[in-house]
Amino acid sequence: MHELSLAQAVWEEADRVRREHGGDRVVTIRVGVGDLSGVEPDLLQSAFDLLAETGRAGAACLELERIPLEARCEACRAEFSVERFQFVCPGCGASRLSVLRGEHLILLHVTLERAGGEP
Amino acid sequence: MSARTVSVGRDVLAERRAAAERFRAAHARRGTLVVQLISSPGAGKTALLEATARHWESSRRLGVLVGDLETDRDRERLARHMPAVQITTGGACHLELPLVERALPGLGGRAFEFLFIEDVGNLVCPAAHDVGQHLRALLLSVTEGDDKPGKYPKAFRSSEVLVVTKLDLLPFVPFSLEAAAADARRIRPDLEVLSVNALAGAGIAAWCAYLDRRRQEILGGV
Repeated sequence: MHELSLAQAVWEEADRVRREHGGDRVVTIRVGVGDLSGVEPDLLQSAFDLLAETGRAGAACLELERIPLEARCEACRAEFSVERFQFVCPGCGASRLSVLRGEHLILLHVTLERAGGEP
Repeated sequence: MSARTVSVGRDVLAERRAAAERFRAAHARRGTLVVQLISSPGAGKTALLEATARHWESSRRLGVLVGDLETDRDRERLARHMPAVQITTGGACHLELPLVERALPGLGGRAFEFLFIEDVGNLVCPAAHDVGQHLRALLLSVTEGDDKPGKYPKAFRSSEVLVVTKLDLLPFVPFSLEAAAADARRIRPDLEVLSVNALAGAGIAAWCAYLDRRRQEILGGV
C-alpha cells in the first residue's frame, strides 16, 4: 500500500499548478492511472480522500480515469493495446515494443477557483 | 468566484524521477553502480548479497542500504561483509529516494563500485518507485512458484535481470525454470535470467560477472 505517498505527490503537483496559475483553491484534480503504473486506483482514491479529510490536500476532489497500456511494434510499426501484459505484437509476433502510454500516473487537468474575478 | 480548468498532462512522479536521475548521475560520476534488489520477503536478497561479498572477497568496494519495516537484522548480517546501513521504514512497504539519501551518509562517504539498495520485501510497491538505481534486479525463489511473473507485471517489466534463487530446493518443489523465464519474458522480452543457490555459492560467479559487465556498460568503463 504505497498509494498514500502517491496521493501526496498528486496533491503536490496539483498545488504547484495552482501556484503557477495564480488560483486560490484547487477544486478538482483529474489523474490518469496507467495500467502498468503499479497504482491501484481504488487505493489511490481512498488515500487521497484520507489526505483531504485530514486537511492535507485542501478541499480538492480527485477524479481518476484508466489509461490502457498501448505500445508500438518496432518491427512492423503497428500500434495496439497490450492485453494482459503480454508484450508481443499481435500482428507480426515481434517482441521489441515501445510503450506509448499506460506506464505512468498522469496529472491530466486541474480545476482552479479564484475568489472574485478571472484567475 | 470563478473557476477554470488547466490542462497539464504531466507525470505525477516527474519531480521524483528527475531527483532520481540526478542521484544516478552523481553516482555514475563517482564510478558507483547503484543496484536495487526487489523480491517478496524471504526470497534471499540478503543471502545473495552475502554470497556476492564472499565471492568477491575484498576485490570490489561494496556498500549496502537495506530497508525493512522493523529490526536491523539484515544490517547485522551484511555489516560482516561491507558497510551497511539499515533503513527502518516503520511500516512503509517500500523505499523512496529521500529515505535512501538520508541513510547514505551513514556509509561514510566512500566511493563504492557497487552500492546495493535492498528494498523492503514486496513485489508490488517497490516496483513503482525510482530510488535512483541504475539497475533493478528481481529475485524469485523456486518455492514461490513459476507462475509469479504474470501476477506481478510491473515488477518484472521494470527489472533488467531476474535471479531465480534457492536452486538447491528445485528437486522438492514443482518449479520450472523454463516456465518462469518464459512467463517473465512475455512481460519483458530482453530480461536476463540467472539462477543461484546463494548458500552453496552456485551461480554466484555468473551473477558477479553480470554485475561487472553491466557496470562497464552503464558507467562506460570508469
